[in-house]
Amino acid sequence: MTGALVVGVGESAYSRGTDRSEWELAVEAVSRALADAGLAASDVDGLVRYSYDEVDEAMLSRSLRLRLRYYSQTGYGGLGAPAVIGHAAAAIASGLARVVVCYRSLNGWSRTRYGRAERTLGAADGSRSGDLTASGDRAPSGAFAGPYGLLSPGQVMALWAREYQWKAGLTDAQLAGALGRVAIDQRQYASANHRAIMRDRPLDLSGYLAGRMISSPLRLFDLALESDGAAAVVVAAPSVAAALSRPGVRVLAATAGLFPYAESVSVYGELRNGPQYRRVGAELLRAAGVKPADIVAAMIYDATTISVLLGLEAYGFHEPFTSWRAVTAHGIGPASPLPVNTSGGHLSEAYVHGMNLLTEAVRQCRGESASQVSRLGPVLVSSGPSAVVLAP
Amino acid sequence: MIVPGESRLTAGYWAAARRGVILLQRCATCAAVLHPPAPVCPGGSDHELSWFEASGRGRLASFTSVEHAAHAAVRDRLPYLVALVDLDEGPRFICNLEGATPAELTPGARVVVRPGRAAGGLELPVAVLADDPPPS
Repeated sequence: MTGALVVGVGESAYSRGTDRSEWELAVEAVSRALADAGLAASDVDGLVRYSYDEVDEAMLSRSLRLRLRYYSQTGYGGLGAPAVIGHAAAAIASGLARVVVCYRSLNGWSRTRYGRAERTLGAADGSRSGDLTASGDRAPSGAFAGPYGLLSPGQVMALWAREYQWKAGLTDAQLAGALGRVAIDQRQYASANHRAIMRDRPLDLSGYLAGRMISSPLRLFDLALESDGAAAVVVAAPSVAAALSRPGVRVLAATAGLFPYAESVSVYGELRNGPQYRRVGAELLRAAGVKPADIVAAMIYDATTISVLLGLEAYGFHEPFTSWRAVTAHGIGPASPLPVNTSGGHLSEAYVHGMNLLTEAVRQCRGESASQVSRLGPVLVSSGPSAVVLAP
Repeated sequence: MIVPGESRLTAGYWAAARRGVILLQRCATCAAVLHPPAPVCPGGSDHELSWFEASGRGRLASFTSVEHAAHAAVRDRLPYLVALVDLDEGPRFICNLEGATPAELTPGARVVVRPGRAAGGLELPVAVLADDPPPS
């Protein structure tokens, strides 16, 4: 156990289209998380952010009059959601900080489209004939991928999905049945969640299959939303948490794992249910003192539906290349053996780069989710080789 | 046109790639084969990497048919196939796949690269289905 406790969560409204800046949304989400915790900005002495965030420490320090003793950043985008908790817990355990705010603010609809390649290649101005340069060796859009038109994370995950399909020996229809079940069940969760962008858009299998093919075998509803919004959590030392009106959520264990080619959206290493990923999962659960069967809900980073199947296998809920069968049969909904992404997740709530999975995990531990699981207990939040186990 | 960003490390790689040839790095000490290129061998600081021409042959590990353009630069190429190839020398290689429909692609299918026009418009190694036997 790390000793740190999550004592507050907050978010801005989630939307597809806002006239408010990421700076404003970040301030709002952090303010709400502090109010939720019963803390003031003057109590905050630590800040952890995503290196990708356009809102930096100085901006938040100024707008909230923060006096920081500690600040740090996590890399690789969506891998950051569990990792921020690891940073915060480490800072607290070492005495470098007592109250650490973690946030992500992303206008992914109005500003930076993660489904598009303009953010990495630059915009093609139709009136000019300049070459676009694909730099670095990142899988989508890097030098060894961009010239071949492998440009977006979703296209890389389509490669993961096909590899999974082939290694599991599935027909196209079997793969679509499993992935569709993920999309449909998460949409069902969204219908109960007033924050969810897709709350009024029910989805069934025929609707899922009618979604246009984006990058085979992934269709429209296999892909995360592009949305505008910010979310934040407050992590505190036990002495701080003890004085608050409501019990904190314990951070049982956290890992920010990395090994060759395990950075986000790579294709060069093993598939993300392979032995190295499963080792990360086993070590995390051992550190948390729990078994997969103890976990009451899991928030598995769902940039695309295939990531949910891979995560279920990496963290020990199923053997490699078998989760598709259980998901097809039982789903991931409220009555399933393991409810997953119970807010609707990135597919149907909003895409806040994992931070909205973290806020939902905290709500599940508090018994406050819109789709509350019946038994309170440990909740996993994972994103590839980064993960955290929270518990009431 | 989508062109690769070149560096001192990769300039030779791209000169060969524009002729349709894949260069890989091999370590003289531990025989590790690397792609994408790296400045040092992960096997040890005294290990020495050198470039060699890949056979261009391998097996199809995965593919996607891109049907929605993520950038205007590839819109007129839709749909196009991106393949993941496990080269016979070991590393994984990303390229386009030509001359086949998705229905013709099977797990582990033998492929070979040859010069072709990549989806981004540049002349680069692209894969086609091959009927050669796998290396023993």
